[in-house]
Amino acid sequence: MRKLIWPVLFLLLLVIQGAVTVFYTGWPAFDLLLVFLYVFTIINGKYWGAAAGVIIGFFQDGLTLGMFGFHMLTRAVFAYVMGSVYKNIYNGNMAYHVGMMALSTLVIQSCYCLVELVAGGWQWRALPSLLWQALGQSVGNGILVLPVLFLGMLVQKWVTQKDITYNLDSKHESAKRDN
Amino acid sequence: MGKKGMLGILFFLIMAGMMSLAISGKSRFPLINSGVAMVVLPFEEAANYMGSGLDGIRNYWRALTSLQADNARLQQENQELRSANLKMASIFSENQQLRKLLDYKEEHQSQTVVPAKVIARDFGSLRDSLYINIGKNKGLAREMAVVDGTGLVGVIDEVYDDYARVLLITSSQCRIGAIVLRHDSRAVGITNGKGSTGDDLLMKHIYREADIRVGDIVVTSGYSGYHPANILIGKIVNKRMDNIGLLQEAEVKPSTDIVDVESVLVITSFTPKSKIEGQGGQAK
Repeated sequence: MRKLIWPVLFLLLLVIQGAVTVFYTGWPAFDLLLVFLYVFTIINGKYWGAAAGVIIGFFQDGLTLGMFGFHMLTRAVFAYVMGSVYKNIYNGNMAYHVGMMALSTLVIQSCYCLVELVAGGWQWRALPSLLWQALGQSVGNGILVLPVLFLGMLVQKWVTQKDITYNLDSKHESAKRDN
Repeated sequence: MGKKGMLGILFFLIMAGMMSLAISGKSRFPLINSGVAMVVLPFEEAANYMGSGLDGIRNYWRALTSLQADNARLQQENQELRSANLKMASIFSENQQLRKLLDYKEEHQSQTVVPAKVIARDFGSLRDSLYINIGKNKGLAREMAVVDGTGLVGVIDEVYDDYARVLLITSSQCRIGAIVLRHDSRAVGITNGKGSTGDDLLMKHIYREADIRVGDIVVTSGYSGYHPANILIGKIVNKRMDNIGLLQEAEVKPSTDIVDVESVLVITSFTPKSKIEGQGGQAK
């Protein structure tokens, strides 16, 4: 049951993402859902991460315009790759998370730039502005990944905590047996 | 009476005599005065000096306590004033935005407009839309134009019961029929976003011989039938021939700051046509 906290957290971050971006319009932008997906994948593995990526991407595709499936595909691939790479490369250094989040955001946003270029009729003059936006989101996600990772670790700790009532019941049972 | 008693009485008598002489003012004892003063006064001075120091310390602590209390009170006052100032600035900004909307409404009295607030935007990588807090309940339909006080923001893309999604003019999917306002030009074209919220629009398909200049104001043409005419889009900042060389293109700087839009007006009096007959204008 405690595992249901993950979808609740996702919905909370979805609401925050939509609401905060009305007022915060600075250059270091952020995609809280992508950061959350990264943290979820790190904690739960690449397969669960990919599944979550499909679901999160589905919501994002539903809420944004453009090519339906873009977010679903990119998020699923992102989660699978992050989950695979993490096991092999991570050396305990927190800078790894910042670097991976920033780099992967830049790659995903570059794919988005390509989509926009195709949709806009190959207006190459828009490319510098699009890449600048991509860099801004890359920086923003890099900054946010550690706090969200910390939150994720706390949530995971809470989820995996032993159920106290179970332990109490088992003590009563064993006491009865002894008597 | 012994020796001691006799000495005591003698001492008393001498003292009484001296006192009576002193009281009557007939005799003074300057030597005694100066001798005593010489011995006692230095100590007095030292004691007074120490006392002043102690008094100074006492005053210092008093002042410090009082200053600390004043400081705390002033800091709190400062914080309250800063907070009030922030609120005032926010209210002022909102007031300015609403004034612009009101000015637009007064300048375009032939149009029926409904105010709305932006409630969400930027859910992912594609930043080409935003959500407003009104929908079918206020008579909204797809393709209705959305403006703020300074010009066109976008068009309604999807309508729900209480909300609607607005396609921004900076989106690569948004195409608006446009015309140059200058009376001796009236060049027509189609404005198209480039996908970046900070970038200019591109006005395409302008006739090769059309007279367009940098600085020309561009407004909606209304020719498509989807949007009312003469809604401000922006200003031409650059012009060139297209890739093929048959038509002109112009870069149009939007008059609206798309990034900072918080309140908008939806023009409801102009009913747009659907692109395909029987498609229906509203999302289910």
